[in-house]
Amino acid sequence: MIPMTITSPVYLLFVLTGAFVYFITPKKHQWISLLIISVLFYCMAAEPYTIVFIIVSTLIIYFSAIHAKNRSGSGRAAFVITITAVILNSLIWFLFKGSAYWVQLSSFIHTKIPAFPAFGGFPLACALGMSYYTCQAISYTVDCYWGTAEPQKNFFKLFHFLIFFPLLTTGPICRYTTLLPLYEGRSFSLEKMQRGLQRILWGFFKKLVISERFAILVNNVSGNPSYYSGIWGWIVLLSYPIQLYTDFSGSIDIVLGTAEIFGIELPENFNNPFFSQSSQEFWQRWHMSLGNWAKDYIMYPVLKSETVQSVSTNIRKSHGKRAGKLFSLGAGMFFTWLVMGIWHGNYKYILGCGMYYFVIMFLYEALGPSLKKINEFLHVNENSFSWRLFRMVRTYLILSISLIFFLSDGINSAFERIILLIRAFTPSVFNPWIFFNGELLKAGLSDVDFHVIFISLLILILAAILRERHGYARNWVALQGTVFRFLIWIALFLFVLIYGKYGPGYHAADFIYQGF
Amino acid sequence: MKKNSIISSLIFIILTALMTLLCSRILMNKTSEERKHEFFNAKTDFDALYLGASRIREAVDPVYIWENHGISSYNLASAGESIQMTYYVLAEALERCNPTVVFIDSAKISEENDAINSGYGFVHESIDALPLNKNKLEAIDYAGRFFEGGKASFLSMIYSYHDRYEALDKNDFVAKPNLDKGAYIMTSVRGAEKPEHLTDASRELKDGDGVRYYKRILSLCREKGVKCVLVDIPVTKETYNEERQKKLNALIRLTLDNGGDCIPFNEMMDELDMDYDHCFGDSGHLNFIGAASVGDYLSEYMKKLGIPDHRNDPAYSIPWDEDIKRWKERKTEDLSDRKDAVEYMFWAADDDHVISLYIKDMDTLYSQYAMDFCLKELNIVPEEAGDDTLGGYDMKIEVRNRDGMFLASQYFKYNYSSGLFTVEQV
Repeated sequence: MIPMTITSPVYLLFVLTGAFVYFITPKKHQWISLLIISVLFYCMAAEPYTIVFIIVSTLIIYFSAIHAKNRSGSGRAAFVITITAVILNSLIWFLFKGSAYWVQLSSFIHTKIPAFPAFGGFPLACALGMSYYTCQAISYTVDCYWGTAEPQKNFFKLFHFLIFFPLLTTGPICRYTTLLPLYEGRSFSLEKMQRGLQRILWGFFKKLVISERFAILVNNVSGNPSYYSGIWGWIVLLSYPIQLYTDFSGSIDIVLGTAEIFGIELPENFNNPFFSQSSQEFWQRWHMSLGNWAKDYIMYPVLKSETVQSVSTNIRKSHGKRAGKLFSLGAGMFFTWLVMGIWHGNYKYILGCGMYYFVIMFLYEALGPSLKKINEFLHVNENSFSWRLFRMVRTYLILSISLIFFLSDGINSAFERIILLIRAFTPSVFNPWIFFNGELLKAGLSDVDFHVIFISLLILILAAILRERHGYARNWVALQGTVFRFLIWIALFLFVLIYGKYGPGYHAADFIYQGF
Repeated sequence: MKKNSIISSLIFIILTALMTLLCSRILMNKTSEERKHEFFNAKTDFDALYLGASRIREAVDPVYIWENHGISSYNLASAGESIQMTYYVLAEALERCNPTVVFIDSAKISEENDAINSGYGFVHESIDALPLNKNKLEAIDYAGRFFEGGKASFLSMIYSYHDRYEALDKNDFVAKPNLDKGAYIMTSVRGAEKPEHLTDASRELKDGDGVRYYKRILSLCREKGVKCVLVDIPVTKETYNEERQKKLNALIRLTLDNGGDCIPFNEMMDELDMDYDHCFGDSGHLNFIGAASVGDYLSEYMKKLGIPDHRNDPAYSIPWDEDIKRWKERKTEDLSDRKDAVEYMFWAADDDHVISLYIKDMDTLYSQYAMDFCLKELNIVPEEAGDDTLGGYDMKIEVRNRDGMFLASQYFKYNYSSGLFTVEQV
């Protein structure tokens, strides 16, 4: 079987051949050719038989949406059908992608009650993109129930919505209404092809040049904590967010660029998250599609639920308006972060990603006014660069601590890591000289690698600044003269070609978010 | 679609492709190209070719054979080369020259099925320099199955070598093809132990990939009317084992049955007056002394096949003499690459050169028998010197020409544990 990862030359060839086939197909039937391309991709990138899961998910949402629509006069029946469809899709996800929950639980029970079997679970790779298309399936079902989307009467078109190939690797999670252009015919656009390829190149740059280098450092150091002690832990703590960002956003760039080649615009998933001055803002800029999905399908329904509304009203009466508001917001946030944690597929994420951010954000909401007063008392100029920089660094550190749970095997080892980080400054292990005596070069990266990282991060920051000002850095590039434009793109292409970590003998790390 | 956009896109693609080719050219490993450059740009035909792995590459010196016997030959062997790759190199070579005889190294004829019996880098070294044609594509098709990067890693130089940026040096920007007719002759002297017993026993050969490819070589030679001679280069006790000898005996039988011939040098050490104390450059390869004996024997063998002495034929002698002159100049340039004093002196040895040796402590000089041998062979009389001459080192070797013109010098430190004088920083 041909290996198909989205950073392989085979993938590029596949996309370009697919685009050629797509654009020579009569417009009326283009969606069919794209569907076939997507199925082919699935068969080449995953175990082909697992396509049955997407077919089952499609069948569930196809019939539930149509039946719910037919029973829209009877609100209760439509609700039951919709909820059943959501539960069934969630169950399939729980059985495969969420297998860690029941595997770990059964193992725990087994240690207490030996008669209870310890389940083995299914290989996670067996269901490509399940966490993403399950969210899409749920959003479609609920949208049809709410009436914000019309049920799709053509089963294959609905199947196409779930299996559209660029989305299968790392998302973004798209609503059905966003993907309606999938069914439209379109002519070839050289400009979109160029922009798509530019975006893919940018994704390759992030993944192959930056993320893969950080992956070497992070994997070597975190894989051998007894050797790499003291400050090394902090190096990993501060490096991992950059690795994860360049890995995940790099893959999203490739996905969005691929869709753009086919003339389809997908929603952004990142918007310079490290410029965020608070965790709230961070989650509006990081993995935006999951955040939006959770907001639309978890937070708002919880806030609007009768129970939360009535308890909130009671609290408002007894403890004041602010307390009532905090309760409803807290309830909404709690369930949102709980689901966000669960979505990542392991108990450790419920704590490290879900509950951790719930506590931080809730405290920020609760203490926000008091903190503002303190700032006023201390005459802090909230518009100054230094204050904004401080907030950015703070947000980055909060994220770094959360990501310890991503790096660790389980909750216990995450806490052990945190303890090691705190102990890093005790005299027996404090080792800041590693920055000066060449030891930094003993973690798998050479001095040239560090130079490449430094230059690449400068390019990344420059692009981020240009994006803040021009929408996209490439918009700014497009405004430049031909020679300068050519120079920029050729230089970036050669930079990736030479300094990218790929090729024989090199095992690129999988996309971290491809596991979800 | 605007016409300008299409033109501008085409220009962009062409520029990108050109830049990629340029980077590919700079980044690629040049070893294969440098070694085979003289062959693919030869001004004369070759009477003989030597193919196989490092043992034959370091055992047969075409320059020595020309200078002493007037036979035009080329050493196409490369390190770690499996017989499968030897087949493709030979197939390509026989399309470019008409040798009377080819000598095939017996070292890497494996009996395993579906195994290349060679490392990734070695395969590159064997085939990188071949022009992209049917032979190379077939070689890639075969080799690509065994390595992670697949065929793409042998087809695309940038894919294989893009991360060589840390190893780039002057030679990657300015071509410096080898001038030694493909051989790599060691000038170090390391004592080796003689294998105790060479068995006459034979056994059945397994029909693995290597044996099948060797049969293809025999068949190709028959088809082209070229004599195929299997050569067993001498091995030391460290690298000898009985199983290997039984296999070799079986290969000899196979070769003779197919119209070829064999030269088992390992069994001819005494006959050729080759001794284990002086003929090896390391534990597994002959040095220049061993190569001279092998070269003399092969030359006599080739003369019996009717290959003439070309030294009086200007069509051969002019280009060969020019090449050898350039090679001798290069040898002097490359002196600084020799890291061991004995290796340095034997490398510098030439009728036109005068070698002087300055030593801090005369007692250290003779602690290693190779040094004693070297000084006697080259008639060098060491001179005792102080720090004003040696500048903190233990030895200095100076090379001048017969007119007294300075050519090169090197400082060495004495290693008390090994007894060697090697190039080291003070």
